[in-house]
Amino acid sequence: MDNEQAFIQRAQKGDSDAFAALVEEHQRYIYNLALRVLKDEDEALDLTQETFVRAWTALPNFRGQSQFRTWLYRIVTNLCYNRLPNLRRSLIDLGDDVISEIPETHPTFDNPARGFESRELRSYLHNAIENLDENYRLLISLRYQNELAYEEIANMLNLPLGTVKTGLFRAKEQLRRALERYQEASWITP
Amino acid sequence: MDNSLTPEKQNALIEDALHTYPLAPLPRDITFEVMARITTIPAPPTFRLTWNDFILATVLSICIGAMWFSLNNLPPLLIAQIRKESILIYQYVLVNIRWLFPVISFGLAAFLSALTIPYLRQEMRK
Repeated sequence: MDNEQAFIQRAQKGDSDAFAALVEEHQRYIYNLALRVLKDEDEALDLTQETFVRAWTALPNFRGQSQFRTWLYRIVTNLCYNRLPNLRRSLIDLGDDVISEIPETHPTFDNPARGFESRELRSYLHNAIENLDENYRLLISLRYQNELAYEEIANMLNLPLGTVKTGLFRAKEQLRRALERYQEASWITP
Repeated sequence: MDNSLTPEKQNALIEDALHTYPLAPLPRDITFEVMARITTIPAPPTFRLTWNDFILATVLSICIGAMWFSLNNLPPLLIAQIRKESILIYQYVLVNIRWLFPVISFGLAAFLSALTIPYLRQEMRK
């Protein structure tokens, strides 16, 4: 969005048209995050609306320390905590016992998901992501769909950096196990 | 299908799936609904007195009133005695525990500096 800062400043002064433009711009991302965590379209839509209503009332307190969208993510995450009381606890319980630096490979150099079978495999893995626990889905959505840095996620969720890394590491381990199950199944049924 | 995926290839497949995990399509535009809800929210008043303000103001008024009443109704002899005692205490402090002032000042400064540590840590993490 061009000149988002100007829209925010206008909205802070009570300009509802400027706020409508901000809603239009960010609603898709907020809805996506709510849906990935809650797995219910109606609830996610409801939460998205609630997020923007709360953002409107809290807008005078927005000082621009973080990006506007990150600030909205914080609101929607807090609302998710209210809907899923165990979510916060499950995030804290992840601990931070995993290696401090997680090697992250980027698939761009040689896209492994080519051809019909690979597309099927990608779709299988997307399905596996959807079946992860809600704390992992939240972390994955923030990291990969919204492209936030580990530090930003930690700051946003008020968690230690190590906990965020541990959570993402464990999520990938679960996906690896799902991948192995897929391999075994395709081995049995050629 | 290659059934013997190396850990590197597994990693690459997982990273690919994570990076291509699509954003969910929005079922409908909710801008209108949000704006309709916002218009029903009354604008917050620019200045508002809370119950806490009232209670604090009442307690302070009573204290000041009681002090004023006491000072105006104490016998002159007692007032003179209080003045004498306060002068004696002040002299005692000046003579015997002069070190208390710098200690309290530095202690207070250290305490206030320590209060800024969480904020500074948060800023450094950004």
